Amino acid sequence: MRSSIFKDFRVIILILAIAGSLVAISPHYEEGSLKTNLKLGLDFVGGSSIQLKLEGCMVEIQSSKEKILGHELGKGYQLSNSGDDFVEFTCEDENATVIEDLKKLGYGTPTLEGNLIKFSIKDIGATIIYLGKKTEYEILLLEEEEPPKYEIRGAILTEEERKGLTDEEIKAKSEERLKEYLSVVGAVLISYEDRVSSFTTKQTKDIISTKLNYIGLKDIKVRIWGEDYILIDLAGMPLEEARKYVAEPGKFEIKIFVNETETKLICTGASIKRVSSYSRDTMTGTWQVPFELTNEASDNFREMCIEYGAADNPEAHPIAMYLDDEEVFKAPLSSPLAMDIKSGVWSGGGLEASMGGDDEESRLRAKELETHLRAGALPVKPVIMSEGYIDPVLGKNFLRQVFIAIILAILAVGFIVYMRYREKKIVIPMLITGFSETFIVLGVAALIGHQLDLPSLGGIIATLGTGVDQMVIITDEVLRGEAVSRKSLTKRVSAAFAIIFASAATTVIAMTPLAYMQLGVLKGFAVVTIIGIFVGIFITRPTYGNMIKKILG
Amino acid sequence: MFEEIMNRIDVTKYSYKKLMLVPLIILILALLLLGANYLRLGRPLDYGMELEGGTTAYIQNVTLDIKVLEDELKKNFSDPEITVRKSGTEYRVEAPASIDSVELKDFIVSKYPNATVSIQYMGPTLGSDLRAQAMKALIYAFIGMAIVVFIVFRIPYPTIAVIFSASSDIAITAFLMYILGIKLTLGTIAALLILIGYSVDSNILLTTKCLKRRGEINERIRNAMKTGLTMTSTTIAAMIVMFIVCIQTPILKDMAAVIVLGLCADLMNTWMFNAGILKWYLLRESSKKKKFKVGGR
Repeated sequence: MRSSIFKDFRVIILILAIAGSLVAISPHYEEGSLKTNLKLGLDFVGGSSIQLKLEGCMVEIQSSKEKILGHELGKGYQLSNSGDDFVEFTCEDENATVIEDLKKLGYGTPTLEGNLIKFSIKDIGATIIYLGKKTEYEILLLEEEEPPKYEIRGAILTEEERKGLTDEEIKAKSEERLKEYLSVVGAVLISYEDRVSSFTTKQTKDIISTKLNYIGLKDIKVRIWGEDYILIDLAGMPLEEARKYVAEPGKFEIKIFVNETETKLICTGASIKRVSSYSRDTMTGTWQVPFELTNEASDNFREMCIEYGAADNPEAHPIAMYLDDEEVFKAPLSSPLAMDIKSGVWSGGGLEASMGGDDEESRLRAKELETHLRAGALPVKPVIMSEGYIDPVLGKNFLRQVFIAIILAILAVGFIVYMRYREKKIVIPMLITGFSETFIVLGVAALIGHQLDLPSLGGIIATLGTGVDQMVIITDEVLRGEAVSRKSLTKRVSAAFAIIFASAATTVIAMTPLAYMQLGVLKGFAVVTIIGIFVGIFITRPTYGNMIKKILG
Repeated sequence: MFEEIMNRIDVTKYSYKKLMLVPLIILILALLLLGANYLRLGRPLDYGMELEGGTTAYIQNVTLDIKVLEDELKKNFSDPEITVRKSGTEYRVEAPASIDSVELKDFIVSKYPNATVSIQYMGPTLGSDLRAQAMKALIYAFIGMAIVVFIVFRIPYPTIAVIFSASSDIAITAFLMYILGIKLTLGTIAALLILIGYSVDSNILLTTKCLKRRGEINERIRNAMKTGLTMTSTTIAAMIVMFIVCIQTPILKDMAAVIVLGLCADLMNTWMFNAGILKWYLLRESSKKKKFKVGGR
């Protein structure tokens, strides 16, 4: 009888599954300690975890450039003609002053056509400039379709104003403030969303990862959590250090080559006033990243380019950019820029870092450089929403405790089952199945790279509970009444399976919302429980059914 | 021994109508208390730090005087709301979200240089986000469970009884949590969810055995009860072990406690209430059939 158990198809599957799990977990000794392929979370290895939320909002605004310009120019503004992308108007003031005013206001340079001031601008462009001035943040166009959707990359209320207010009050006040800004230019706030776009969240996440990679922290996981949060796990790092790396900008420097090897610092990341999204140059089609330096840094840039000869001989004295001492960009001044600097036409401000190509590779390089440039400053301000530090010693204790709990729990279950049936022939297969199930669940977790945290291991104990329940149901069906033929035993086992399937289905359904919950704190628990139920139904439970049939039949 | 216990608590020996009253009365009490809490505080149960927002430090590897540390902390941070508690061999400092977590940790380490200190800060905004989502998960899980149970049985009364029993389990467990001062945390929410699964397990077993097996009604219930009691007691045993071994690990300790409470509620609801409903249903069905025969068709 016993030898035939090992020939059973189901038992062979179980043995194969255990062997597979052993390979997946692959326990081995390394440097005198036991290592496995199991991914252990911060709960067990210790370290810091920081969750960030980004300040900013998304708004839909209906606005008109004519009204915005009217408000900005004030007295005597008389619109004579306008189209989708231009306006023509007259003003009371001298035309030259108006043109100078517009330039100062940041709306660009109009042209003079006879008596009329002609100016190419669109509704969206005017709105971006106006809002940018009012809020002093970068305004990003998200959708062009009516009504256009913009992102304001910062908090509307100052920190001082927000003090002591609830989230709802802050939201209401910010919306009110925006409406004030807009009503004076005859614009309407159509919608207001108190969060940044997923684009911005992703961009910020990328910048933080880049920065952490550059300081040599390669194994750090930066993840988007839910839709709005960024989660950073820094294994083994104290909280104060983690905070510094995450929230403080990277060291970004722009330098000039004095000769072939020697460089001199022009300015640091703090002098970068604004970085725009990477784009194609309208003339040459090459990929580039536009950025702007502060006035002081611009002066420095011009003086050093002249002093070290870059303006005369650009090729010999390239400009380079460094992030945490690593070169991320190097190119000579373009000849028009060199000439403008030499002649004094270049008055500072905007620069473009060009990749010198229009291919996919240049596009990717431009995208990367934008990330580097922005590493000096994140596009939006992150706010720490939650943080935690687990001492590595404590983590190790947790792990040891949980494994002791799993083993003792299986033994306790064995004891209760023995009290009930008084039969080793039932208890031993049940214990074997219980242990194998736990092992296979860990194997699957290793295989799919699931990171084990405390709730995950709680899930293992929970599945153990359902697993034993189901084995008790099978055993009781088989034991029901008098001994019967093998055939009707099989029938009874399948009757037990009807109950098991129904209860497994409900548990899987009950766990699914948790597995998909946006903020996946309990995801590990749900995922492991679901894995456990499937391993039970497809591998261990049928094996137990066959074993018990053979043993009792 | 098992037979002895089984005989003593055999529910088929008593009037099922009287037995059904007990879980009903407890459920009503539970609902009244939770409802009163909700009206008074806007929440049925107290939220733990991770759902409420706040800063918590866990101190280990040191023995200290709770009162002394609490006073020192209150003075240093000039905040009267800081509390220090002992659980197992661990001390827990709970402070409002306004206290900086690194400063709190540094202060404790400066007083007890040998202590291992872990720290957790949860912003109130994130806490309320988590709360909303956890509630959603609980509701979806419940609806999903109800649908599956209905698909399995496709008869109204037993289905309603199973769903009622699961809801009653959750309500009574919440009531017991309140009495024992266990707060609603992510861990205990997970425990309530897995309880839905466990509760349905025993009820599906009972309902299947009553509706789909042959034999005298009381015999069917007794049979189901034997299996069900074994199932529930093994799980309770596993959870008591988890509670004792993981007493220093708050999330697992609380999970285990809630599951044990819930399983006790489930024992009562399944075998006193749901068994009663099924008996009533089956007696009614069989009397219908008899009338049918008298009618002579």
